[in-house]
Amino acid sequence: MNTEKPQVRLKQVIDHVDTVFQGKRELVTLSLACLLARGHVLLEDVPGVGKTTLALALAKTLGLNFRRVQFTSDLLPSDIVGVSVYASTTGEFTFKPGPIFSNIVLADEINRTTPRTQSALLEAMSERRVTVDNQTHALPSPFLVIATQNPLELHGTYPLPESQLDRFLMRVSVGTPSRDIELGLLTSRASSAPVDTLPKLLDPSEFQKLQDEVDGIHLGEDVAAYLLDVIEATRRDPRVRIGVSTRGALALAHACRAWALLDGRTFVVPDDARRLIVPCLSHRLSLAGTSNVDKNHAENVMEDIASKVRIPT
Amino acid sequence: MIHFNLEKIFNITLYVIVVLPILLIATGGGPNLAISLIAIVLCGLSWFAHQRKWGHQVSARTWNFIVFGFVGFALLQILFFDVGVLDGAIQLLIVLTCIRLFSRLSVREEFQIFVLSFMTLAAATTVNEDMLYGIVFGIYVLAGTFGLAVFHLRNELLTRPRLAFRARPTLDRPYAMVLAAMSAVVLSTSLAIFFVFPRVGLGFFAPQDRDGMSMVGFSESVELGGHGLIRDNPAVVLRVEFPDGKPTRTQFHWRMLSFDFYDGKSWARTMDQEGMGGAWHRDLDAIYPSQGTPQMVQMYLEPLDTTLLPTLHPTQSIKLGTPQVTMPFGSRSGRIRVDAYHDIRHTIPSNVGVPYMIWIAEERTTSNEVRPREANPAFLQLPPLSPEFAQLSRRARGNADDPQRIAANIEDFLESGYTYTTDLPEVGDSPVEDFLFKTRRGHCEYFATAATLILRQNNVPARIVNGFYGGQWNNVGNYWAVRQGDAHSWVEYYDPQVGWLKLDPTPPSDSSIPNPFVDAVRKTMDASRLLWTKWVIEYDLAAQITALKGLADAIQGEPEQKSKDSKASFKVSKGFVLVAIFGTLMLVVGFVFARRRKVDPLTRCFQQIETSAQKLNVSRGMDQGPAAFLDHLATRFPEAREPIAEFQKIYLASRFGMGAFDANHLNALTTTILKTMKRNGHKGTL
Repeated sequence: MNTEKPQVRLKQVIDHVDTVFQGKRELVTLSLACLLARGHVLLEDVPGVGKTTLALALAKTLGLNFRRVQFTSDLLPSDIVGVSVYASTTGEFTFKPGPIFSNIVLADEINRTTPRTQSALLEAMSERRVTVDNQTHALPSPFLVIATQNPLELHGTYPLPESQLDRFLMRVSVGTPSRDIELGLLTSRASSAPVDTLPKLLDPSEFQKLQDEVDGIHLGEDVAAYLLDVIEATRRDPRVRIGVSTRGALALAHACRAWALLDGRTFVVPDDARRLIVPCLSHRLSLAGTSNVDKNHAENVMEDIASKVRIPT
Repeated sequence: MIHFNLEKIFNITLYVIVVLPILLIATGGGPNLAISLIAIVLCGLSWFAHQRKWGHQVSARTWNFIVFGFVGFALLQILFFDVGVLDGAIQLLIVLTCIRLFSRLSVREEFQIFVLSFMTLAAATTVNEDMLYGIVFGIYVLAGTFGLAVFHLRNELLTRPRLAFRARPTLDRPYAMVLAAMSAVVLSTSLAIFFVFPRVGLGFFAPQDRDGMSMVGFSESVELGGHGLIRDNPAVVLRVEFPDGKPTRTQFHWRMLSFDFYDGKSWARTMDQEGMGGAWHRDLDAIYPSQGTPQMVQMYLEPLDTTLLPTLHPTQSIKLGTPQVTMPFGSRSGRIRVDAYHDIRHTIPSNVGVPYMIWIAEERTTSNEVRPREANPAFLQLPPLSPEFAQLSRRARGNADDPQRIAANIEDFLESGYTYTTDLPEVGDSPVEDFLFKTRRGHCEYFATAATLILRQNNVPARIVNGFYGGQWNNVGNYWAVRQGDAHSWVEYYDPQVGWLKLDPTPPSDSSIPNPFVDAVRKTMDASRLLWTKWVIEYDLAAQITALKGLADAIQGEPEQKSKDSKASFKVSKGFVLVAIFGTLMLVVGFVFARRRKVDPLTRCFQQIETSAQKLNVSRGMDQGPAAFLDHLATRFPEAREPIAEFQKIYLASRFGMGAFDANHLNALTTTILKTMKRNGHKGTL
């Protein structure tokens, strides 16, 4: 086992993931920060840009197991959380865990399924346990949901309401890779997915320790005041119907801590907050007048609000 | 942050501004007291009326009708009734203010209230020239500046409500402090203008009539026994400055009034009251025998209901006005008269205080070549008295022959055989004989009357003198204060070889020691009153010139040939200059210190880097964090990459991570970064 400092190994994780999920270092870091902060990510993008690759690569390098659930309109809650099955041999019901019982779950096209199934997933996400037939089953730890949403196809979808969106720590978009990287992908001779070649750098218990370490990161009063200034500004902005909630503030603070740990620091600097404001808060804004589905608009508003708040130096 | 409703702050300041001048008018007394009290009650009512918007229910035309009605009423009062122009104007101002308080519907009307209250304040100068005016004026300037700023702020929010939408209208600490500082600047500027702007005396606006302090014992006839009543009155009647320094002696007899005729019960004056004279400066050498170089003494007499001027025994000459306060011009010009009793009177209206100077010297008891004038035989008249009195007079005289010895014997006789008391025993029809033979107790009037009569019985011309005795040194203002309670009676007798001499036959009384704290407060209050009179009320062109001269002398630092008169003002000006310089220094030091202390070395280093980066066209955005800024700086100035990286590490850790840092190292790093940046600055911009 590696004896290096965990922070250094986290850097290595990012480096390794970066080799297979190329050109999206920022996205990898954000996802890892989310994971460290015990949060979940909502990826909003068209299919085929490498969401699965990202999830797989992360799972592989962190030594975590991974499942993927393709959400469809006929998907039932039991398809995700699992069912109790009557075993004729013993005459008892035994719980057959669903795909959610894994460290990293990729919930693909979450807006395609019915609100009922969505809420089952989201409840599991925030509670970190599922209850089936009055029996509570704890989900494995660490537990990260990477949900994806296709922002373009709206027919036959159930967009997540704001209250549900609030449960995601971040909302980010992947974006198509640059031409160079796509060129490299096309010309590379590797037939099998390069994800398989990734080594395991951490084990789950180590990762849990790192998650605990995030809680110990110092967030000074100045930075906290800055966070609150930004959140206060969202509540006052005329373009925003409902500003960021206190849960949003807590989520941002926690994300900042994780970000600082990834950067090898034991304290949060205002820059961390500035970087994370848009991914952490833009999906929590309830905009006035326009549809909340318009992700770019929300991000622009959030960016605009944040750019007008004086940052402490 | 002061989370206060802006509207509420505005209302409070508006009412403060309105009520202050009305209070001044109320305390100034006169016919305006009732109307100002009613106005204050109305102000209170209007507060509630405005909150319930009662004013909105009355149409603007009705309000206009009421306003013009009052204007007409005031004009009628002035033209056809015996109401002074100023009083009428004050009434009108107060009434208009009250009406506006009830009917303020728009910003314009609220501004009118500001203007009206300012006019009321100006009008208040004519009825209240007390020190209270100065204090209220100071508060008014502060409150007025603050109020107008809040007024403006509120109006901006009313006209542009979007501003309030962005951020709640709050009055945060820096803003409030800036306002306070502005008010202070306005106040000090107005004070400076007050002292520098050329001026003449009060003249036109001087109040028509005001009662002087009522005095017992200085009327045309004095009955024995009235004196005890005023023994404890602490009101100061006379303040005396000694420009040559604190006097060594403390036994001052401030002579005011004397009498010749005693009818057995009371003293009266029978001789020519009008007196001679008419100069505002005259010598009195011939009256009182004196020797040595005279010393100048500056006196400030409070307004009294008498025109007598207190003098010291022996006064050589007297002159109206002091170097700071000139008297002989304008409405307060006056002359000095000396009557047959050698009492000195002025012809200035009694409603103003009288500043004057006297020159005093040592009393001379031996004869010299100056022959004194003959004493009037009226100073020998006696009431019908019993034979026992004649016997007693002979006993008191002893075997003395010349007036001075006789006087000394009588003083001994009275002081040894009789006791002083203000607690008067009952006396019969002949108070002096009762005092001499029965009660053997009494106060100064009895002693003085007895001594006068005994002297006359022994054929020495004598008269009783009323005035003040003693007084108290005010160490706060460095002057001598004489109170009403210091009133006293003593005797003057005539020595044909020398002239009029003083005799005080009253034995000393045991005076109670005042509470030191109360005494200090009283002295400070009294000293500030003198300063107020000297530098505000009586401050005119002459005083201005004297003060500025003293200031110039103090700055030049070479005391040129100066007369004794300007010495005092020199001292005062020097004090002012010192206080001013000290105050300014303290302000500057305070400012610098406050700035310095606020910025810790960490932040200062960062700010230095930020400022110099800005000069090199690398400015930090408002939302650019320190780490991002330093990273950006490192890319712009690759030569300074390493020190910047190190600085960033230390800075962030100590600023946000509570880490300790070495200030010297940080400073060195900052210097390196700044130098490197400057060296490569132009390269960077290319």
